[in-house]
Amino acid sequence: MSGLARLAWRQTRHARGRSVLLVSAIAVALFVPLASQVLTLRFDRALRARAASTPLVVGAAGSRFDLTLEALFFRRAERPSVTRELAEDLRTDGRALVVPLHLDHTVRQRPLVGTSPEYFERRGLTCAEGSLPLFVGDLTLGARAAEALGVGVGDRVFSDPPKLYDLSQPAAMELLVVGVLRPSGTPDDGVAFADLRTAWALDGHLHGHAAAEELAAGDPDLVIGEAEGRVALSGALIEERRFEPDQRERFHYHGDEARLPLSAILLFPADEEARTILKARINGRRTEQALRPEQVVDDLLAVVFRVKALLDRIAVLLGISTAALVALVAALSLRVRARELRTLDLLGAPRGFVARLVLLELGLVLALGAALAGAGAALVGALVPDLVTLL
Amino acid sequence: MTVRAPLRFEGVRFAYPDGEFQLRAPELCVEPGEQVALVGPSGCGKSTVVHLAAGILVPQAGRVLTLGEDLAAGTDEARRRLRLTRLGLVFQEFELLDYLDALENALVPRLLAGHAPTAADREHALERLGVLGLGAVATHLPAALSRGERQRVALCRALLGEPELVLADEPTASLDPERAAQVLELLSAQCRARETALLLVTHDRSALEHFDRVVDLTEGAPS
Repeated sequence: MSGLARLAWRQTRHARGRSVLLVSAIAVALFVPLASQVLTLRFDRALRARAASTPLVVGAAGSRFDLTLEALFFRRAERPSVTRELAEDLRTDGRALVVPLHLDHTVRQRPLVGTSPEYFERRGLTCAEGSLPLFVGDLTLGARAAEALGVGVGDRVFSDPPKLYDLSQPAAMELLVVGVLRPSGTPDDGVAFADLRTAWALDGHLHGHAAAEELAAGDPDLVIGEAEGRVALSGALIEERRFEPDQRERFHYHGDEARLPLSAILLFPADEEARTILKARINGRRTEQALRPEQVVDDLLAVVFRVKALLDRIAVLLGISTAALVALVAALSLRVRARELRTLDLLGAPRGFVARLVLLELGLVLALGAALAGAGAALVGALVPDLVTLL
Repeated sequence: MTVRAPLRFEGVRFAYPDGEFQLRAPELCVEPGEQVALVGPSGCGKSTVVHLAAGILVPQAGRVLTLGEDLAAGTDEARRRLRLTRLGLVFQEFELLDYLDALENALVPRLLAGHAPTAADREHALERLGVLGLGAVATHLPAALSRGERQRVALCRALLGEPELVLADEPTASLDPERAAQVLELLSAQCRARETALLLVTHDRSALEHFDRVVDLTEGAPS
């Protein structure tokens, strides 16, 4: 350390109160824009990356933001659903790979995503352990979800009942963890995946019980009527609440399967032309919409950056007031230190030494403040959850 | 062989900008190894002489030759370098830096010259502090030292670089008589041991016995 640096460091250390005040003020002034930059950049990157890998999202007409955020980031929204029929129509059309999503349920407060095996293929998700959810009742967890829930392959977890005290709602069901995905650094890490039929079973659309003849043989009172080959069973019948391998075949649906609900449909068209045709076709309907997530994310980010611009303006004001404070404290300290600076002059300090000393001290304080702000921003980046999850 | 005088004033005239003060020491000479006391009433220009000799002030006329250098003819940078490297300066108010301990204060000229003190420098300074009776307080800040100790630290700082000329401006003015005598004795003895010339300003006439010569500014042109 040179003589100048040693003197600057000693003085900075000696005037602790002043140094702490300046370092804190500078750290706060720099922290605000740095932290907002870190968070918005991360937000921007996360949103765009996800949007870029999803050419089209189809869902019920309504908020574009809600549909996009739900289909891409599993943010739950009270939105009308579309039907399986739409997904089947699109599949028959053949212009795009169709990936249905059912997002109405949770497992221990984490989104449960009912989908088809194509989802995993398109998102590049593979299992670190076990297998994908191929059967009703199977659950495959994202890496972060598995860690947070503390469960692994072979464990069983209950779904969250939609309304705990509403007996008309389907009760929670016990699901079997059959796999854990490799970390992907995307929202997929934080959710649980199931087969679509599992999601519909949790809705109450699918249910499982033994055949009517079998039930009647065990308890004739369970059959309350028979007409045209159909059997009406008593409300006392207890449906399956878990999906044992030998009971999977018992799950069935009595209505029109085309009406089964979906939260959204992801479309992966073969080319740009197919995308344009599909989008136009779907948007021609009144009840559904097709969105290019990249466009929606651009609009969403425009809002975010308007907020950031406001934060930046606040940071500029903060910076100006901090600069004024630093200048004031520096001027006052020069006055207080007039004698010390005269001493240096008397002893023969080279010309400009005093100015360099004062500047170095300010630089030291600035560097400490900046380092503190940088560390704070890094900490925010590491500890604050992704803004996407807070949407 | 002619031995050069460490300090010589030749026809020096100096006035402060307000013009009220005129220096009354146009001729002055300090021989090698000589210890000269400069006395006179307040306001007679004793400190001005020391400041001119150190190059802190520059005369309007005449020459100040300090260690052979005509200070008025040189640059400000040269005068600063001379003060820092070849002169030992002691001031009435010690002029120590509050944020450095005694040892570091003694090494300030080295720091000002841009060098980080080496272990050998520190050892040497510690030894000198020990000679001045400050070994036990080497790591104390000035605020924790008595006035006498502070002035001894200032002496140590002035003498550490083996100066060719020591200029002391009333170094005992703020000390009680007992401590003042101790400090003067130490300064005189240290300079004599190194055969260093000393010009000391004092208003304490009881201390004059230490000096080879006394210059009284009240008598007009000194001898």
